[in-house]
Amino acid sequence: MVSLATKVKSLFASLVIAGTISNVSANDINDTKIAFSSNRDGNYEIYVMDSDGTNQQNLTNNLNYNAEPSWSPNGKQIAFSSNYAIYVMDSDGTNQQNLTNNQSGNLIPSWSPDGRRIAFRLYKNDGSRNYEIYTMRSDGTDISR
Amino acid sequence: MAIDGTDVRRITNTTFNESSPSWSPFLTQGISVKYTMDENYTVESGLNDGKQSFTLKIANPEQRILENS
Repeated sequence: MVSLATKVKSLFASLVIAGTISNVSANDINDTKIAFSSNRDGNYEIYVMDSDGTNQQNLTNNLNYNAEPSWSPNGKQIAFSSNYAIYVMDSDGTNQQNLTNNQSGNLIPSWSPDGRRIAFRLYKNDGSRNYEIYTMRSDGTDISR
Repeated sequence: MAIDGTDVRRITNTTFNESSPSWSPFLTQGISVKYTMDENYTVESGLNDGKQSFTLKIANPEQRILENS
């Protein structure tokens, strides 16, 4: 006969295998941060800081016009505009990638709540002379008006 | 500031232009559960976001196990 203790152990083992329990300590929780743009080094860069203003860090540090950061819903990436293209980078500034290789003006990215798409403002140099809202997948594909 | 407009705080203080703030999301990293195989088969559980917690205790583990067996 299976002992009671064995049944209890088996029950919790099943829960862990099913992925419903994650044994993460409270020390792993990140404090929230604020991304922003600033021209303090002579041109606009993307910075992050703790929500109390401390630990300010330049993430872009190049000669482009970098502005309008938008944090991804999972906190791992930041979308931003750079010289009228939409870029994403990891939240530590690495892996910067241009998502919109076109001749239009791409500005003001905003993540969808599920993190799958990015909405942005696009200005086409085709004489239409107005801004429109587009979305694309977070990898830059499937740009839709 | 708070969502009702109160408690406005100045975070940056420079002579340059600072704009377009975006707050990182508040993420709950996971659920923490620990259990002790003592005579009471106590189970303690809590949401691991540092803000909420709760304790779950199986008061009558023998009955619960029999129901699930």
